[in-house]
Amino acid sequence: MKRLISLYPERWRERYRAEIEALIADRTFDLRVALDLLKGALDAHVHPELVRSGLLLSAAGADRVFVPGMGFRAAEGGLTLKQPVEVRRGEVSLWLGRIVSAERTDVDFAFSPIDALLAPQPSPTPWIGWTVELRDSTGRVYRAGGRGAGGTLGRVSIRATFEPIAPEIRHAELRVDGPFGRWEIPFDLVPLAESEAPHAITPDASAHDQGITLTATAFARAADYTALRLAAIAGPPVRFVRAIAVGTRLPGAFAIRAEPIELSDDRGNRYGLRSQVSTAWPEPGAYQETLLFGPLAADAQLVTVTVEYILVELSAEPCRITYPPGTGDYLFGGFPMRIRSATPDRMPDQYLSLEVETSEAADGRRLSHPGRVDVDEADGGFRIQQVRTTPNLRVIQLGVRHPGDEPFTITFRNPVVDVPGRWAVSFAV
Amino acid sequence: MIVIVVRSALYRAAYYCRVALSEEARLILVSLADGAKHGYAIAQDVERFASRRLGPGTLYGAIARLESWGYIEPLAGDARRRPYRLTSAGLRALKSEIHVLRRLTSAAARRLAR
Repeated sequence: MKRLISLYPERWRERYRAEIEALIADRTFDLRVALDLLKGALDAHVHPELVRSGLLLSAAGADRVFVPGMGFRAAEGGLTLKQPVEVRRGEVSLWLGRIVSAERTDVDFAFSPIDALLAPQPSPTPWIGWTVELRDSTGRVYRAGGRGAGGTLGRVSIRATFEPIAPEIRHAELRVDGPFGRWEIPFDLVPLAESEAPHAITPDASAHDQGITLTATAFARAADYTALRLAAIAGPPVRFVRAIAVGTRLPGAFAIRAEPIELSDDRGNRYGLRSQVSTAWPEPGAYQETLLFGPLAADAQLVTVTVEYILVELSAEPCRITYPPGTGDYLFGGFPMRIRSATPDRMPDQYLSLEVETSEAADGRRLSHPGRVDVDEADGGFRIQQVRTTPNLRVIQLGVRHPGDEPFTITFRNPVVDVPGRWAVSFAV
Repeated sequence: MIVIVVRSALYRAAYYCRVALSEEARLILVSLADGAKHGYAIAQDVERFASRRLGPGTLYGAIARLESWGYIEPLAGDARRRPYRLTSAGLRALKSEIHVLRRLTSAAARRLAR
């Protein structure tokens, strides 16, 4: 029996092994049961998405702290910057503001004031070419991961990611080589568990609606803020969750949240959303968002977060529109569509503006926008100049650069819809 | 009359929203309709009311599907005897299934009576 159970994927065994063993122990183990387990193991390998890795909850279950700007991080073995460091050289200063090493090392630094011409607008690309190196007191150089840049006029902020710093290290150095010359900034580290970062609790409280589960996976309160991490998990036909919101539909093609999520407590207080710290898609079908609210009242004992809309991308048959003529009625994943107008423009490129009118599907849902648009079965990329939805979700405006006078096909894939419902997650704090 | 029309529209909407339920998943939803049960209790209950013996692989394959769709949820308890209960989405899915089955059986009965 144990051999047969070992044929199941590891994730499956972690989740159901004890229960399956208990079930078999209460019954006669015969050939039929063995064949059933074999069939079940095959099914589990074909559909690995059915059992979540537990990543969202187990990660939250570990001792974690909340670091502003960085999110929830594992406290054990984690390190953080003892205090910010600022070095001035001539007119320019480098500010090393934040370092957290837990699971990975994130380093936030900024140059200011700098020439407006060098500011990362409209593209941050120039900053990617800089050399940024992390080296500890033993001389070890840490492997670099991704890098991102942003900032305001006169200030450039950069986040560089490296592999985790060894937990015993207390002194290290950041080396930056770029247009402002070569900078070597030594800094001190302290264990994350001993820092002022508030420790998180794992509420593990959930709400289900419309086939989507919303779970509060981590929560931390500090004197000047409250941090909350939510995970939304959905099964088929949802491909993945794109965003969560409250109070109103999500307008526009890329789901700009019109009404922020609100947190309330058992004393009748409401806490407005301050900022969104991070979003992540940790595994198929799962979406994770870390949010920052105002500080919680001292006497609050129970908090509730309410979500009223979740934006999801669905699996569906693609919808193909051949141009010319381009106008006509179509069905895209159950959503009736009509091409209202197709306006060609030859200047400066072969360009086609399409206006697609959408109707409600039979279940009352309305298409927000296509998750992906291809031209001639190839990823649209630069050829798709614009995908925009009117705020009432009735018209999708599409701009396509096309190959020329030959007929071509536009393919809509994966409808994105907002799912109205009510997910109220309450937990003790 | 209005109530019937609205209820029918809601069931239709729920039907279109649903994911396809297997026979085993449907039996589990029925079993959990009168309260939370662990795997062994579900298997026994299904055997009693549907004369269908669910093997452990089949049972937990269906439980995993229902859990991933948010139709059932595990409750805290002994890891070997973890109870599951129906969620509100699961209850809606079950009602929608019953509605479809009712229409099917009444259509079949009408045609056989001709």
